Amino acid sequence: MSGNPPGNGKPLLEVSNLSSGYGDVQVLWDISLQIQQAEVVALIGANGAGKTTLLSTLSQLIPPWSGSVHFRGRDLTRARSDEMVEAGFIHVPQGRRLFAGLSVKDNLLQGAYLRRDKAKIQNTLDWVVQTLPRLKERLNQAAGLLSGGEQQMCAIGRALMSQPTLLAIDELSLGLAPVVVDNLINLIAEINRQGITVLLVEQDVQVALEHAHRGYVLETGRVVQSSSAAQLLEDPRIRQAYLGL
Amino acid sequence: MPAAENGKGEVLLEARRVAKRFGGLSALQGVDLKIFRGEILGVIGPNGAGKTTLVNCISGMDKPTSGEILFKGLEITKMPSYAIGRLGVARTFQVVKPLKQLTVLDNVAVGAMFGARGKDRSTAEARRYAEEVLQRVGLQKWMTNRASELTLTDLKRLELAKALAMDPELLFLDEVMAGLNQTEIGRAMDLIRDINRSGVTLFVIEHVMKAIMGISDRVVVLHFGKKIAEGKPQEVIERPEVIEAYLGERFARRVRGEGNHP
Repeated sequence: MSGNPPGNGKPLLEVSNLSSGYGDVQVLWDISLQIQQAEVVALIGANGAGKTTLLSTLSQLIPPWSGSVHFRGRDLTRARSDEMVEAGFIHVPQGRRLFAGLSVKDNLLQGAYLRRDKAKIQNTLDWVVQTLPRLKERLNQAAGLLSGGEQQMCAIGRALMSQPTLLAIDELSLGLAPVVVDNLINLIAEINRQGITVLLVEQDVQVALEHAHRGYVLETGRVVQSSSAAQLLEDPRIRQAYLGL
Repeated sequence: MPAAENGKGEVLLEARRVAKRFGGLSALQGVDLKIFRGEILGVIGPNGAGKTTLVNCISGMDKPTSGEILFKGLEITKMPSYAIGRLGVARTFQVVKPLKQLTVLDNVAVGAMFGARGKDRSTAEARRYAEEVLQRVGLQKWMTNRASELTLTDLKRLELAKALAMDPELLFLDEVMAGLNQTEIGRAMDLIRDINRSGVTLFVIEHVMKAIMGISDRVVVLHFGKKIAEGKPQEVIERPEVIEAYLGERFARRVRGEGNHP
């Protein structure tokens, strides 16, 4: 992806000096980042760098220790996770986290739980299963019976059902066939063209950076670099550390 | 791995016309498969192709609807999974299955007690062996933590450690590299080659094409529960039906080393 994102002025998401962790263990240190409306931003870093913890802190699955989170101009530092969803910040967690006993359709509908435009939910559902056709074949099966990759599709579909303003995806390609990753990346480019902002955690750094406007590099819980995706792709340290080149 | 390439190696495992139905869904539609001793067999296929179901049927987690499975000539089709484990077959789980309340060490010690050589081990010996295995996969520093405290990638490592502790002759790896970055994938490939050199035959399900291409002696492609291709990695990924069903054009270019590199 090239060129400047269409954002202007105030960032959609503004994170300042954010810290968090688990129990006594601090994982994130003074994270600051800004994401503009309609940007695709990649978050890269080794395992254990804090990427998942950052997404979980932003979506309020774990509380921030200090710092602030502003989303769509509102201070949501102390918001609940359901308030983040209502505000349009949708997190696709690593490892699917589906309701195994519910049908695929009911799992998808969970994503629309907080929507008030009930009449339009069916339209979104039609669009989601058209976009992820494997789900259509399995709509009435229990989600626990899906293959690993189909579960990942269902988790992404559930997120799309909430009509996100910002979609934060943890490990898009996890367990998916290359051709499916290709389709999903194209899908993300497509929903991004419709104005949805994307924060992408993806171990296939090349795929992530080829489709992002900008990227942040995390190391041991700190932002150590941020620049345009094109610059990061050219950076010898990034190429060596993450692209294995 | 010349034994497998010329097809004259000893057959370690054979699946004959294995079929599995879940209600109206045919997950496997008569799959024939041979695994030769000493090889690394890569298995790829679109999501829902039946890869994990095949491993479930072979490892006794599930029973095939029809067909038979032979390990070292012995029919194991209807054997319970613990008995198959004792024979020297181990596996990892794609959706990880740790014993969450146990320590990382004890998770692996359980493997050491229920594998091929488990009967000869005391609990203390199993723990000692588990420690060795944890060193090998790089999890030793988390030994005393509960499994529930691990990250997903470390849980994948734990899956591998549990299976290795069973001293398998045949080891099934179901997407152990998912979620690793390129550098970590390189290390995981080295580890898998090392396991193979120590005498373990491997059946590797993986979507990370760099890994499949780099470690597999042969590759089998499943699609809608059928085997649609089989052969050397480079040959298999050139086949139009494989590109269409699984790889996609962009990734096909990438594994060929053309384009898309900055």
